[in-house]
Amino acid sequence: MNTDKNDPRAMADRIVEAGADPDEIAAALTQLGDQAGVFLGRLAAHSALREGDGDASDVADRDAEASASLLAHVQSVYEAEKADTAALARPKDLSKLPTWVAAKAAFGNDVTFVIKLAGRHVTPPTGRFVRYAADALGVAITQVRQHFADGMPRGVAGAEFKSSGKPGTGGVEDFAEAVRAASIPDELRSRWLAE
Amino acid sequence: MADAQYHPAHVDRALARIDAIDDDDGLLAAVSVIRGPDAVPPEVHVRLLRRCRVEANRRLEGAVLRALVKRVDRWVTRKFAGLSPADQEEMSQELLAHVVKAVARTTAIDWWECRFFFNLRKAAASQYEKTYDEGLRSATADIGDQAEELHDEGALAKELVEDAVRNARLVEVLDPDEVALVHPLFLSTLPISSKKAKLDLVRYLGIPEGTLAEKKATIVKKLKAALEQESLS
Repeated sequence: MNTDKNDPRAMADRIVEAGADPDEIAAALTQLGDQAGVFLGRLAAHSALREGDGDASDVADRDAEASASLLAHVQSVYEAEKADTAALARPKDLSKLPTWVAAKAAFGNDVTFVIKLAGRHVTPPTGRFVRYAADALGVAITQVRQHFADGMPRGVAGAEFKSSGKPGTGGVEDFAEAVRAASIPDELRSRWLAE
Repeated sequence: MADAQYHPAHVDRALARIDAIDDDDGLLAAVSVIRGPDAVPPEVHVRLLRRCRVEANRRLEGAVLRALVKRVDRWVTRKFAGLSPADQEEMSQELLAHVVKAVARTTAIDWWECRFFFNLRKAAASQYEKTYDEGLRSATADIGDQAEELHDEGALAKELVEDAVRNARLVEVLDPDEVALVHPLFLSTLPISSKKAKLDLVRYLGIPEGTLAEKKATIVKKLKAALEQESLS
């Protein structure tokens, strides 16, 4: 059985995604031996499909009947799949660290920052961050707002405690400081600090 | 470190634009735009479908799904221009079923929200291989005992290519576009062009017959030259 690492199709996908470096193709062909044909077949498919992902504005729509039939088919598949995965759409417990850790890739894989968020060790974040966090966690935006609102220590709303960058035990760090200290791509940092 | 998984800039901008719309009709109109500068990226459609699961909004979900179906269907029509309309529709059905199942499998951000078309191409490549296999079976069934006639490459050229594949010489000698054509042109049994077959390489790859024949000749010439050079050195 092929593991993902030596599966010829997965290898071709990875190499194409990385820009189809000829040296990598050569290395793959050497490694794959008898499976080189499958690998090359996959490269051929990618090659045929690679151009023109744009809005296809030159392509005419199907006639109304065919479009309706296609939409109805897709809708029925989607509804069936949603029914099978209904548990996913239920509210999640944001006070639990695993809920946040499961989404750490969306927070730059910085677990320290994720712990701060889960433990509500930051002041209320920006609106853009709240929207993003809801998307990343796959929950309603109201749940994320509530999470951070609940987390403010009573009587000190608005008070800000500077942190060393590690999650503290009781202090609340300024959200912007926590984002600046986080090990995340600059692109995310500037988005999350924008209002 | 594992890859960070977040919305790329164009998706983030489009989401911000959508989020700034505060009336329902305006929102429904905006998400339905799939052509031109205001076209909503499919990554955004995926995100909006997932939002609709955790914050129910049937009207928005319906509009988004309609737009996504149209967008993918057009992509299929363009990419699989060589297939018949019925086969294109089947391809759209298969790919869209794959897409919406992936959408339903999580409510969090995944690669479909980051690189929709790359994922779609991967799914299409698998579908391509299936179509290709079916094409092979159909071609053989169509002409029975004369199946060998479809295999229009000489045994010597095939051996030459197989030797180059075994020795990983292809990439030294050919450019990436040519490497990608090696399998269909030399290692498969699909004809370049055949009215008898249900599928041929012209339709499979969407490349004109003359161009394919030219590429094939070039590949053979390059490989022969490289092997001759090697034997001299």
